[in-house]
Order: sequence, then C-alpha cells, then structure tokens
Amino acid sequence: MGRWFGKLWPFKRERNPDSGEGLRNVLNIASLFTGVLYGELDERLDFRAALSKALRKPVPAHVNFWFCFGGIAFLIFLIQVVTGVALLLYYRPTVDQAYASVVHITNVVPFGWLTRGFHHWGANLIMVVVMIHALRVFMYGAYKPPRDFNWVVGSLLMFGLLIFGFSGYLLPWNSLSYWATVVGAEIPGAIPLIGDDLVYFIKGGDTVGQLALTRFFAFHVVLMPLAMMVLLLMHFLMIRRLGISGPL
Amino acid sequence: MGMMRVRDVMSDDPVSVPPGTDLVDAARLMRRMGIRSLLVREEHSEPPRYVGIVTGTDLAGRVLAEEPHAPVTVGEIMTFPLLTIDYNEPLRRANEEMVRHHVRHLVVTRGGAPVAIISARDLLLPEEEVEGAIPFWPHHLLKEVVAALLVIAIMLVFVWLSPAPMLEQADPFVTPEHIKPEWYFLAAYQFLKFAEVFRFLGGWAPKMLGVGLMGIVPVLLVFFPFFDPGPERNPRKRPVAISFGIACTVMFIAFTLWGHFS
Repeated sequence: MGRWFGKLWPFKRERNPDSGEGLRNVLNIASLFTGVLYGELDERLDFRAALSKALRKPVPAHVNFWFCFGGIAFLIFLIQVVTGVALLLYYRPTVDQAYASVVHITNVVPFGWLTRGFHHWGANLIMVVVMIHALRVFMYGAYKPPRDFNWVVGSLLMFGLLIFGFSGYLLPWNSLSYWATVVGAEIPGAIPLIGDDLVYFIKGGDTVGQLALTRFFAFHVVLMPLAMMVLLLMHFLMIRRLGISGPL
Repeated sequence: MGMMRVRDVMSDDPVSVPPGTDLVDAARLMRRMGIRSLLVREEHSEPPRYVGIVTGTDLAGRVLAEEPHAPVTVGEIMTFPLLTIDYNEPLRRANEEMVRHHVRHLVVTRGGAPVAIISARDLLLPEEEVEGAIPFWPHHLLKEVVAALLVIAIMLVFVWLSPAPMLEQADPFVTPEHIKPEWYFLAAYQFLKFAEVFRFLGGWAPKMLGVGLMGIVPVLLVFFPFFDPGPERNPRKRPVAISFGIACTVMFIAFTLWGHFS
C-alpha cells in the first residue's frame, strides 16, 4: 500500500539532498526583484542579451543637437505625468471647490507651488519643443516613406497635446480659463451639420458649468493620457523598427 | 570617445566544451546556440581554462574533408594556442589581428582573463553604422542625461522666476475685457478674427470660411507625407516643400504675434 501511494505522490523525496539546495531555492525567489539582469529570471528570459543588444545599438554620426527634441518632448511628457498625478492628489473637480483647491495646492501643500509650476511650464514648453521637433523632421525629410505613417501618428500626438492644453486650462476655474473656454468651446459651432451638437457635447449643456468641468477633467486625466500613451507606443515602436532617418 | 571598441560588439559568456566532446555533439550545440565557434576548455577546470577553439570552418575543412578517416573529438581538430585581444582595444586592432593570423575569431580578455569572443561577423557594421557612430551605451545616453538635466534646470528657473499665475476665481456673470486663449491657440484665434474680411460675401462667410480654412490645416498636417512622397530628402533639393513649410511657420508666428499684440 505504501509503495502504491509512493508512486502516486508526485514529489520525489531525495534520499541524499544537497543540504544547501532548499535554502538556495528560497533565496532565489529574491531574484524576482533583483535578478532581472543577473540570476534566475535572466536565465529563463534572457533579458540581459536583449538589453545588451539594445544598448549596443550604435547611434549614427549624423545625429546632432536637433535630433534631441523628440526625446525632450517625451521627458516633459513624463514630467507632466508625475506632476499631474501629484496635483490630482489634492485637486477637487467641482465648480465650488476647484479654485480653492488650486489655491490650497499653491499656498499650503508642501512643494505644491513647485509641482504646479512645473506642470504649468511643462504644458507650455512641450508645445515649443514639439513644434521644433516637427520642424526638424520636416526639414530633414524624415516624414517620407517608410516613415510617413509615423508622421501621421506624430501629428495626431500634437493635436492630442492641444486637447490636453485646452482641457487642462479650464481646471483651475479662474476667470481667464473660464472665459477662454466659453469662447473656445463655441468655435466648433461653425462646422456645418454637427457643429451645434459638438459644442453641446463639449460643454455638457448650454453653458460652461459643472458638467463641462467634469467632462474636461475626465478628458484631461483619463482619456487623453490613455490615448497619448497608445500613440506614443506606436510612435516609438515605429522609430525602433525603422531606425533614425539616414544622413542627407 | 566616439571610437567603437571590442567590448561594444563582442559576444559575452562564450560557450565551451571539454576536448573529449564528440564532434557531432559539438556541431549540434553550435546549431542550438546559434553560434559559429566553441571554446575548448581543459577537463574539470574551474574557472574554465581555455586551451583551443573549434569553428564551423574547422568542422568542414578538418572533418568532412577528411572522410572516411575523419577525427571524432573536438580536441583533435581544435586550433591552438588561442589568439587574444583586450576588451578595450579598438575594433580596428581586432580587424588587423584577424587578417594577420588568417583567423575569424579572437578570445577577448579583460585583465588577462578570457571573458568573450569576437568574430569577424561582429566586425561587419550594421546598416545604420557609419564612420563616427557612437554606441548608445554609455556615450549617447550620457548626452541624453545631460540634456534632460538641462531641461529640468531650465524649467526650474522658469518656475522660480515666473510661477504659475494665480488669477481671481471664475465668475460667470462678469465677463473680463480681453479674453485671449493660450498662446498656442492664438494663431487660430487671430485667423478666425481675420476671417471677418470675408464678410463682403455675406453674413455666413466669416465664421464658415474661417473655420473651414482652419479645418484644412490639421488635414494638411496629418497627411502631408502623402502629398509629398518623393524620395528626395535633402532640403536644398526640395524647394517647393521647404518654401511651403517656411511660409506656414512664418504665418503661424505672424498670426500668433498679431493675436498677442492686437
């Protein structure tokens, strides 16, 4: 009976186990955290080979100062994500409290003024940087096939930034942002057929009020970041696949 | 600093076998690992002491060509002594060594200890690599980090000297005198105001034509590559596209400034 059971039992009992083996296996679990590059995980997934291949990829000699603006735009995007999340911890998206919470962030929250300042300047600088990036790509003819679709994605990213700017501008709920939104939201009304419905959709009603603020908030902190991340991923994968455009 | 060195292209963690290894096993191991050479290590040496090297060329020239009296173990056909090169040497040196000794593989040493293999194939330059290319790691990344720190420093100075504005709270019942959008919308805003010149066509014209012409801009921008697909990339040789681009940029800046000062 014992022998039969022994055959069903799936785990072999080692008669003469290496005394350190068990402990070593336990310690190897630590490589889940440390072992991505060296250790158990790398042995299975070979991250190191992939990484070293990526790191060794040579950067062509014609890559100069003007090529760095795309990367800088991404850096500022990351700064916007970090500072944006930090602001989100204190911001209150209601008509009654939005302005007060921004004042609170600026005057009371530790480093709130700095975080908000970075977010404010990042929003403006990323526009400048992205425009320079687009001009560089244009001048170098880097939008030509096979990179034509990446220009499409890039210009969609630029319009995404404009929507980001427009939606974020309303959130502090101060006089300028409110009235700029009131005026700006009317502009699509001139589009034939769908214009009026589009304006209604943007404002969430006949006037810019709580629904508009909620709507702009949702666009600014959920929808646009997701859309931008998908587009950025496409942008980078295409660069990775096609490489940097060659010398002129 | 920009020069490519042995360490930038070498293959780490060389695969080795003892001299008694069967040649068929050695060939299969090479195929499985996707490599073209095996180091031969002294039996039971730890860390491995490499004594020779076997390559795919050896398997053809010293085994297949010798049939039917072909050798059967790695030790019989290996090349020795091993030729070595320091991991810090420039690629040009590796190239010279291979040419001089009529070999295609060198053992790469670091502080005298063998750490990798460099083969003639590693010397073949990738497509995008031309004279003066620098490795991404660490040379290019260093530049990127410097640029990133500079950007953050510039932003910090801006935040310090000109903090984010704090205006009065919005009041839907009090319209301020001058409402202007953010600067990156100014050009479009000013163009819509400029479209008033079309009023002679009728009351509908300013808004319709202004927004209509404005709507062409995104379409033109997004699909520009398909309007200008020619392969020529040198800006001097595409005067039409470049003039158009400069004209658009100047227009954008002009309308922005106009909007700002009007």
